Amino acid sequence: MTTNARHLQPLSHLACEEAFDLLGAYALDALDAGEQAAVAAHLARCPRCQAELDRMEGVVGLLGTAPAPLAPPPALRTRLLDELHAVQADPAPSAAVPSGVAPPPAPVPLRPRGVVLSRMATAGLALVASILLVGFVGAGVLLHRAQGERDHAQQGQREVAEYLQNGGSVAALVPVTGAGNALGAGRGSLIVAPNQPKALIVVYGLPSALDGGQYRVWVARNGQRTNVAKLSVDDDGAGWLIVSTPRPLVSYDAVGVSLVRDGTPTRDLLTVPIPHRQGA
Amino acid sequence: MPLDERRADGVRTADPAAPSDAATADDAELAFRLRRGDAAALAALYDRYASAVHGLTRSILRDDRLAEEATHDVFLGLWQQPQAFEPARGSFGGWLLRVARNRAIDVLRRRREQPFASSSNADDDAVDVASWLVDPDPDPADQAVAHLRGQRVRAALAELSPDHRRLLELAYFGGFSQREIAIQLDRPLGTVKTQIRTAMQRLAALLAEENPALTEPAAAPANLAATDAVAPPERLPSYETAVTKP
Repeated sequence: MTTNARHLQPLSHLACEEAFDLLGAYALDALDAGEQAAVAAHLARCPRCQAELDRMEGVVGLLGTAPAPLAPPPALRTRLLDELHAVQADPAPSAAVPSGVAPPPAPVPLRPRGVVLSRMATAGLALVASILLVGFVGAGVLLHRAQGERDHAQQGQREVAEYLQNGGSVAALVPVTGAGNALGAGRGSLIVAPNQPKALIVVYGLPSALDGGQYRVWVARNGQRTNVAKLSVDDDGAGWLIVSTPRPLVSYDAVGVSLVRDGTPTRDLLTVPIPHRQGA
Repeated sequence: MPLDERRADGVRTADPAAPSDAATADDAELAFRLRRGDAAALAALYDRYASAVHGLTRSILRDDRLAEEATHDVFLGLWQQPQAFEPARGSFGGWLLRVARNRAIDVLRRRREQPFASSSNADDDAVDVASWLVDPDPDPADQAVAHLRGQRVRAALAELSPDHRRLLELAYFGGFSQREIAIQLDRPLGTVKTQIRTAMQRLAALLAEENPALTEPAAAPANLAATDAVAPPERLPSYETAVTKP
């Protein structure tokens, strides 16, 4: 993580006074990308500025009530509720599961960092090296996104920084053979951290014009795929997602991203094997 | 189908026509239930906040179709990432409106970046703040509390100086960065930064009655002057470069 630490270190140099001065604009999402990343890094270690940010975000939240409420068309509600089944929410154990219905498996936090890394090491140093190299590129792209993508990227920057600063491990999502011919070769990273129960996926370079399709993240176990969630990308083909899986991530064989049209996967794009299946 | 029945894929189904205890649950409980995949909780939150969210996205985007999509995305995103709401950091409603604003601004910025988009005319990007500072015909379906809150916020905005109000309007409803605002208004960036900070502090003070959490400002660093003085012109250094210097 030395390379990554060096990459993030400059962001922590923002003085408290400077960060404090920028918090109103930060809450308004009116900072340049560099300022935004610098403030985010400072906030991670400054409770006082975090408290002030909460206050400023309270102001921004109330600003949103200024426009008069406007009821959306009734069909929007119907459409939304219909879609819930296609886009599965984060599964979690239910306190009251009806009899006869098998409860979903309880999510188990990812193993401590040392275990994860040792298992990754068994898959070969070459894999780990390629994982880290491509992973840093993916994280770097997200941290330096164009200004116009700041809203979603803002939270993404926080997530990436938090994962990496807490000893996160990065695995590369690489193009599936042949996937790049028509759609362009996207790249991505799967990031896990010892204090995060869920993995973070970062992608970039995916085609943003999908002609009615959408990207889906899936996990595979014993040849059986499970859709995890829809993955949205911006005009640069970049996006991120915190991955919730029905079982612990380490119990799967692979994670991937596919293009889906009309509910049917039409092309596998990115994937990464999880190199510790035998011990799960 | 019973409201609380969980499907085999883990999704608790919601029958929009069925009575639901979710309708009377508070936001915190619904947010908790959302994490368990309870679609009835999402339906209840939609019923509670869709008008506020849609009013906001429509005000920012001023396009019915785009506003609908943005509103849709907000609630679908809530379903996909319910853990994104952290109760310790504020109210659910305030958080959801921030999400809605972010989504709408994202769409707005993308449209600006498309040179042949229908709204590429700069005049289209101007926000008519007067249209919502003067309360439109009230919707009888509005919840009284939400309506009153909106009135208070509008009143607080009206108490700001026109210049401060314009700055917040450009940043919040227009989605412009401080740097873009400085260019638009032909002002030094440092001046815009100072004015926006002052405007936010002033608005926080005015809204403290509405939200007690805004009452006590965090102790500012000792050398942080809370003035609105015009700062000297700034040479727009590269921030990445600036912060890497020891």
